[in-house]
Amino acid sequence: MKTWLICIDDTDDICTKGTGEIAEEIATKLAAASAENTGLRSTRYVTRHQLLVHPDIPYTSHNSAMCFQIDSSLDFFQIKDICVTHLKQESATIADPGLAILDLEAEFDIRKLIEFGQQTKIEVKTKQQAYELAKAQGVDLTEHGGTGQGVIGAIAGIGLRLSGQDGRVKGHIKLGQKTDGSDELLMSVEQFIAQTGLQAVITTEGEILAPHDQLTLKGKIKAVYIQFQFALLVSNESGCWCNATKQQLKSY
Amino acid sequence: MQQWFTQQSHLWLFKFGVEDYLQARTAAIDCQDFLVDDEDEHTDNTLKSCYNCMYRRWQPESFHCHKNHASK
Repeated sequence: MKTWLICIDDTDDICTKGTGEIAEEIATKLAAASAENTGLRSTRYVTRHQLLVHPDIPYTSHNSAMCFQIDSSLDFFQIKDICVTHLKQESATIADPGLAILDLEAEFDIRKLIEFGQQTKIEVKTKQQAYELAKAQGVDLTEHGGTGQGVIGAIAGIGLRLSGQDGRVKGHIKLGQKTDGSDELLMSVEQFIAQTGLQAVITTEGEILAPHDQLTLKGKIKAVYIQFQFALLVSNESGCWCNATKQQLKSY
Repeated sequence: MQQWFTQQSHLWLFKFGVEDYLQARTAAIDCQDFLVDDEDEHTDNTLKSCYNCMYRRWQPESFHCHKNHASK
Protein backbone atom coordinates (compact mmCIF):
# COMPACT_ATOMS: atom_id res chain seq x y z
CA MET A 1 0.00 0.00 0.00
CA LYS A 2 1.43 3.35 -1.06
CA THR A 3 0.22 6.92 -0.84
CA TRP A 4 -0.09 9.00 -3.99
CA LEU A 5 -0.90 12.59 -4.77
CA ILE A 6 -2.69 13.05 -8.10
CA CYS A 7 -3.57 16.33 -9.79
CA ILE A 8 -5.29 17.20 -13.07
CA ASP A 9 -5.77 20.49 -14.84
CA ASP A 10 -7.29 21.98 -17.95
CA THR A 11 -9.79 19.26 -18.75
CA ASP A 12 -12.96 21.30 -19.19
CA ASP A 13 -14.63 24.00 -21.23
CA ILE A 14 -17.80 26.03 -20.93
CA CYS A 15 -20.77 23.66 -20.65
CA THR A 16 -18.67 20.48 -20.21
CA LYS A 17 -18.05 18.36 -17.14
CA GLY A 18 -15.87 20.25 -14.65
CA THR A 19 -12.30 19.28 -13.76
CA GLY A 20 -13.36 18.71 -10.16
CA GLU A 21 -15.98 16.19 -11.15
CA ILE A 22 -13.49 14.35 -13.35
CA ALA A 23 -10.98 14.28 -10.47
CA GLU A 24 -13.62 12.90 -8.14
CA GLU A 25 -14.53 10.20 -10.66
CA ILE A 26 -10.89 9.19 -11.03
CA ALA A 27 -10.51 9.04 -7.24
CA THR A 28 -13.59 6.83 -7.03
CA LYS A 29 -12.33 4.51 -9.78
CA LEU A 30 -8.92 4.20 -8.14
CA ALA A 31 -10.47 3.52 -4.76
CA ALA A 32 -12.75 0.87 -6.25
CA ALA A 33 -9.88 -0.80 -8.10
CA SER A 34 -7.75 -0.77 -4.97
CA ALA A 35 -10.60 -2.08 -2.83
CA GLU A 36 -10.88 -5.10 -5.14
CA ASN A 37 -7.30 -5.94 -4.25
CA THR A 38 -7.16 -5.15 -0.57
CA GLY A 39 -10.62 -4.65 0.82
CA LEU A 40 -9.66 -1.11 1.82
CA ARG A 41 -11.10 2.11 0.49
CA SER A 42 -9.59 5.42 1.37
CA THR A 43 -9.94 8.32 -1.02
CA ARG A 44 -9.66 11.72 0.52
CA TYR A 45 -11.04 15.08 -0.41
CA VAL A 46 -10.47 16.64 -3.82
CA THR A 47 -9.09 20.15 -3.40
CA ARG A 48 -9.44 22.97 -5.90
CA HIS A 49 -6.40 25.21 -6.34
CA GLN A 50 -6.81 28.56 -8.07
CA LEU A 51 -3.98 29.55 -10.38
CA LEU A 52 -3.15 32.88 -11.98
CA VAL A 53 -5.75 34.49 -14.23
CA HIS A 54 -3.77 36.28 -16.91
CA PRO A 55 -4.32 37.12 -20.60
CA ASP A 56 -1.21 35.10 -21.55
CA ILE A 57 -2.58 31.92 -19.99
CA PRO A 58 -4.92 30.05 -22.34
CA TYR A 59 -7.01 28.38 -19.64
CA THR A 60 -10.26 26.86 -20.82
CA SER A 61 -12.58 27.82 -18.00
CA HIS A 62 -11.34 28.87 -14.53
CA ASN A 63 -7.62 28.03 -14.43
CA SER A 64 -7.93 25.90 -11.36
CA ALA A 65 -6.27 22.53 -10.72
CA MET A 66 -7.87 19.64 -8.83
CA CYS A 67 -5.81 17.44 -6.53
CA PHE A 68 -6.42 14.42 -4.31
CA GLN A 69 -4.47 11.95 -2.22
CA ILE A 70 -5.08 8.23 -2.29
CA ASP A 71 -3.71 5.19 -0.51
CA SER A 72 -3.65 2.31 -2.95
CA SER A 73 -2.32 -1.16 -3.42
CA LEU A 74 -2.27 -0.59 -7.18
CA ASP A 75 1.14 -0.08 -8.75
CA PHE A 76 2.09 3.13 -10.54
CA PHE A 77 1.25 1.79 -14.01
CA GLN A 78 -2.21 0.63 -12.95
CA ILE A 79 -2.90 4.00 -11.33
CA LYS A 80 -1.72 5.96 -14.33
CA ASP A 81 -3.70 3.78 -16.73
CA ILE A 82 -6.94 4.45 -14.83
CA CYS A 83 -6.20 8.20 -14.70
CA VAL A 84 -5.31 8.52 -18.37
CA THR A 85 -8.20 6.40 -19.63
CA HIS A 86 -10.70 8.47 -17.68
CA LEU A 87 -9.08 11.79 -18.60
CA LYS A 88 -9.21 10.95 -22.31
CA GLN A 89 -12.79 9.79 -22.04
CA GLU A 90 -14.13 12.78 -20.09
CA SER A 91 -12.04 15.81 -21.04
CA ALA A 92 -13.52 18.44 -23.35
CA THR A 93 -12.32 18.16 -26.94
CA ILE A 94 -10.99 21.72 -26.81
CA ALA A 95 -9.14 21.16 -23.49
CA ASP A 96 -5.40 20.73 -22.92
CA PRO A 97 -5.30 18.20 -20.07
CA GLY A 98 -2.33 17.63 -17.82
CA LEU A 99 -1.81 14.89 -15.23
CA ALA A 100 0.69 14.81 -12.37
CA ILE A 101 1.28 11.79 -10.13
CA LEU A 102 3.59 11.86 -7.12
CA ASP A 103 4.61 8.93 -4.95
CA LEU A 104 4.57 10.53 -1.50
CA GLU A 105 6.98 7.94 -0.14
CA ALA A 106 9.64 8.70 -2.75
CA GLU A 107 12.38 11.26 -2.22
CA PHE A 108 11.61 14.77 -3.46
CA ASP A 109 12.28 18.34 -2.40
CA ILE A 110 8.93 19.49 -1.08
CA ARG A 111 10.11 23.10 -0.97
CA LYS A 112 10.73 23.16 -4.73
CA LEU A 113 7.26 21.82 -5.47
CA ILE A 114 5.57 24.24 -3.06
CA GLU A 115 7.57 27.15 -4.44
CA PHE A 116 6.49 26.35 -8.00
CA GLY A 117 2.86 26.06 -6.94
CA GLN A 118 2.92 29.38 -5.15
CA GLN A 119 4.67 31.11 -8.05
CA THR A 120 2.04 29.76 -10.45
CA LYS A 121 -0.55 31.77 -8.55
CA ILE A 122 1.25 35.03 -9.28
CA GLU A 123 3.28 34.62 -12.49
CA VAL A 124 3.08 32.95 -15.88
CA LYS A 125 4.95 29.63 -16.04
CA THR A 126 5.95 27.56 -19.06
CA LYS A 127 5.57 23.90 -19.91
CA GLN A 128 9.34 23.60 -20.02
CA GLN A 129 9.61 24.83 -16.43
CA ALA A 130 6.94 22.36 -15.38
CA TYR A 131 8.66 19.42 -17.06
CA GLU A 132 12.07 20.37 -15.66
CA LEU A 133 10.67 20.48 -12.14
CA ALA A 134 8.84 17.18 -12.64
CA LYS A 135 12.02 15.46 -13.84
CA ALA A 136 14.08 16.83 -10.95
CA GLN A 137 11.52 15.89 -8.30
CA GLY A 138 10.30 12.53 -9.61
CA VAL A 139 6.79 13.68 -10.45
CA ASP A 140 5.22 11.77 -13.34
CA LEU A 141 3.92 14.62 -15.52
CA THR A 142 2.11 13.94 -18.78
CA GLU A 143 -0.14 15.72 -21.24
CA HIS A 144 -3.22 14.16 -22.82
CA GLY A 145 -4.51 16.28 -25.65
CA GLY A 146 -4.52 19.74 -27.18
CA THR A 147 -1.49 21.82 -26.32
CA GLY A 148 -0.92 19.91 -23.08
CA GLN A 149 -0.72 23.25 -21.29
CA GLY A 150 -2.49 21.65 -18.33
CA VAL A 151 0.80 20.10 -17.18
CA ILE A 152 1.69 23.46 -15.61
CA GLY A 153 -1.39 23.54 -13.43
CA ALA A 154 -1.16 19.84 -12.67
CA ILE A 155 2.26 20.04 -11.07
CA ALA A 156 1.42 23.42 -9.50
CA GLY A 157 -1.60 21.81 -7.86
CA ILE A 158 0.65 19.11 -6.39
CA GLY A 159 2.85 21.82 -4.86
CA LEU A 160 -0.08 23.81 -3.50
CA ARG A 161 -1.64 20.75 -1.91
CA LEU A 162 1.73 19.90 -0.34
CA SER A 163 1.87 23.42 1.10
CA GLY A 164 -1.06 22.54 3.35
CA GLN A 165 -2.33 26.10 2.98
CA ASP A 166 -4.31 26.22 -0.22
CA GLY A 167 -7.53 25.08 -1.77
CA ARG A 168 -11.24 24.71 -1.31
CA VAL A 169 -12.60 21.21 -0.87
CA LYS A 170 -14.81 20.13 -3.76
CA GLY A 171 -18.50 19.79 -2.96
CA HIS A 172 -20.34 20.83 0.15
CA ILE A 173 -21.21 19.25 3.47
CA LYS A 174 -24.74 17.97 3.91
CA LEU A 175 -26.08 18.07 7.46
CA GLY A 176 -29.75 18.20 6.61
CA GLN A 177 -29.91 21.98 6.33
CA LYS A 178 -31.64 23.70 3.42
CA THR A 179 -28.97 24.80 0.97
CA ASP A 180 -30.84 28.00 0.12
CA GLY A 181 -29.92 29.36 3.55
CA SER A 182 -33.51 29.57 4.78
CA ASP A 183 -32.78 27.65 7.98
CA GLU A 184 -29.95 27.43 10.50
CA LEU A 185 -28.24 24.56 12.30
CA LEU A 186 -26.76 25.12 15.74
CA MET A 187 -24.10 22.74 17.02
CA SER A 188 -20.76 22.65 18.80
CA VAL A 189 -17.43 22.30 17.04
CA GLU A 190 -17.12 18.85 18.60
CA GLN A 191 -20.48 17.75 17.21
CA PHE A 192 -19.67 19.21 13.78
CA ILE A 193 -16.37 17.36 13.56
CA ALA A 194 -17.96 14.11 14.70
CA GLN A 195 -20.70 14.38 12.06
CA THR A 196 -18.58 15.51 9.11
CA GLY A 197 -15.17 13.90 9.51
CA LEU A 198 -13.47 17.26 8.97
CA GLN A 199 -10.43 17.90 11.15
CA ALA A 200 -10.95 21.40 12.52
CA VAL A 201 -12.98 24.59 12.53
CA ILE A 202 -10.77 27.58 11.76
CA THR A 203 -11.66 31.25 11.68
CA THR A 204 -10.87 33.60 8.81
CA GLU A 205 -8.21 35.02 11.15
CA GLY A 206 -6.54 31.59 11.41
CA GLU A 207 -7.64 30.73 14.95
CA ILE A 208 -8.65 27.10 15.67
CA LEU A 209 -11.94 26.97 17.57
CA ALA A 210 -12.26 24.88 20.72
CA PRO A 211 -14.50 21.77 20.85
CA HIS A 212 -17.14 23.53 22.97
CA ASP A 213 -17.44 26.62 20.74
CA GLN A 214 -20.87 26.94 19.16
CA LEU A 215 -21.47 27.17 15.40
CA THR A 216 -24.32 28.67 13.40
CA LEU A 217 -24.50 26.95 10.03
CA LYS A 218 -26.63 27.86 7.06
CA GLY A 219 -26.71 27.52 3.29
CA LYS A 220 -24.00 25.53 1.56
CA ILE A 221 -21.28 24.50 3.99
CA LYS A 222 -17.89 24.25 2.35
CA ALA A 223 -14.50 23.20 3.64
CA VAL A 224 -11.00 24.46 2.88
CA TYR A 225 -7.52 22.99 3.26
CA ILE A 226 -5.52 25.18 5.64
CA GLN A 227 -2.95 24.55 8.38
CA PHE A 228 -2.63 21.01 6.89
CA GLN A 229 -6.21 20.26 7.89
CA PHE A 230 -9.50 19.84 6.09
CA ALA A 231 -11.40 22.52 7.95
CA LEU A 232 -14.60 24.46 8.14
CA LEU A 233 -13.87 28.14 7.69
CA VAL A 234 -15.94 30.44 9.92
CA SER A 235 -16.25 34.13 10.60
CA ASN A 236 -17.72 35.99 13.55
CA GLU A 237 -21.06 37.57 12.70
CA SER A 238 -22.66 39.47 15.60
CA GLY A 239 -21.04 37.20 18.16
CA CYS A 240 -21.85 33.91 16.35
CA TRP A 241 -19.39 31.69 14.50
CA CYS A 242 -20.95 31.29 11.03
CA ASN A 243 -19.75 29.21 8.09
CA ALA A 244 -17.92 31.33 5.53
CA THR A 245 -19.79 32.82 2.60
CA LYS A 246 -18.80 32.16 -1.02
CA GLN A 247 -17.31 35.63 -1.05
CA GLN A 248 -15.08 34.80 1.92
CA LEU A 249 -14.12 31.44 0.45
CA LYS A 250 -13.07 32.97 -2.85
CA SER A 251 -9.47 33.59 -1.84
CA TYR A 252 -8.85 30.00 -0.68
CA MET B 1 -26.67 44.80 -21.79
CA GLN B 2 -24.54 47.92 -22.13
CA GLN B 3 -25.61 48.97 -18.66
CA TRP B 4 -23.32 46.27 -17.23
CA PHE B 5 -20.94 45.31 -20.05
CA THR B 6 -18.52 46.99 -22.43
CA GLN B 7 -17.89 45.38 -25.81
CA GLN B 8 -14.33 44.19 -26.34
CA SER B 9 -13.85 42.67 -29.78
CA HIS B 10 -16.50 39.90 -29.96
CA LEU B 11 -16.81 39.57 -26.16
CA TRP B 12 -18.39 41.62 -23.40
CA LEU B 13 -16.40 42.78 -20.36
CA PHE B 14 -18.29 43.27 -17.08
CA LYS B 15 -17.92 46.92 -16.06
CA PHE B 16 -17.96 46.41 -12.31
CA GLY B 17 -14.99 44.16 -11.58
CA VAL B 18 -14.90 41.02 -9.45
CA GLU B 19 -16.54 42.14 -6.23
CA ASP B 20 -19.62 44.19 -7.08
CA TYR B 21 -22.13 41.53 -6.11
CA LEU B 22 -25.19 43.76 -6.40
CA GLN B 23 -24.44 44.64 -10.02
CA ALA B 24 -23.57 41.01 -10.87
CA ARG B 25 -26.91 39.83 -9.43
CA THR B 26 -28.90 42.56 -11.13
CA ALA B 27 -27.26 41.81 -14.49
CA ALA B 28 -28.03 38.10 -14.12
CA ILE B 29 -31.69 38.73 -13.31
CA ASP B 30 -31.93 40.66 -16.56
CA CYS B 31 -30.16 37.93 -18.59
CA GLN B 32 -32.06 35.20 -20.43
CA ASP B 33 -28.85 33.23 -21.03
CA PHE B 34 -27.79 32.79 -17.39
CA LEU B 35 -26.66 29.22 -16.82
CA VAL B 36 -25.45 28.20 -13.40
CA ASP B 37 -21.86 26.95 -13.26
CA ASP B 38 -20.47 24.05 -11.22
CA GLU B 39 -21.13 24.91 -7.56
CA ASP B 40 -17.42 24.69 -6.76
CA GLU B 41 -16.82 27.67 -9.02
CA HIS B 42 -19.39 29.96 -7.40
CA THR B 43 -18.09 33.12 -5.77
CA ASP B 44 -21.46 34.64 -4.81
CA ASN B 45 -23.82 33.26 -2.17
CA THR B 46 -26.79 34.38 -4.28
CA LEU B 47 -27.23 31.74 -6.96
CA LYS B 48 -28.39 33.91 -9.84
CA SER B 49 -25.38 36.13 -10.26
CA CYS B 50 -23.08 36.64 -13.22
CA TYR B 51 -20.27 35.61 -10.85
CA ASN B 52 -21.80 32.11 -10.72
CA CYS B 53 -22.58 31.81 -14.43
CA MET B 54 -21.14 29.16 -16.72
CA TYR B 55 -20.51 31.76 -19.42
CA ARG B 56 -18.24 34.05 -17.41
CA ARG B 57 -14.54 33.70 -17.86
CA TRP B 58 -12.43 35.49 -15.29
CA GLN B 59 -10.00 38.19 -16.30
CA PRO B 60 -7.48 39.82 -13.96
CA GLU B 61 -9.81 42.72 -13.13
CA SER B 62 -13.24 41.44 -14.15
CA PHE B 63 -14.77 38.77 -16.42
CA HIS B 64 -15.80 38.32 -20.02
CA CYS B 65 -19.22 36.99 -20.88
CA HIS B 66 -18.75 34.23 -23.45
CA LYS B 67 -22.37 33.93 -24.41
CA ASN B 68 -23.04 35.06 -27.93
CA HIS B 69 -24.80 38.35 -27.43
CA ALA B 70 -25.08 39.18 -31.10
CA SER B 71 -28.84 39.13 -30.84
CA LYS B 72 -28.97 41.65 -27.99
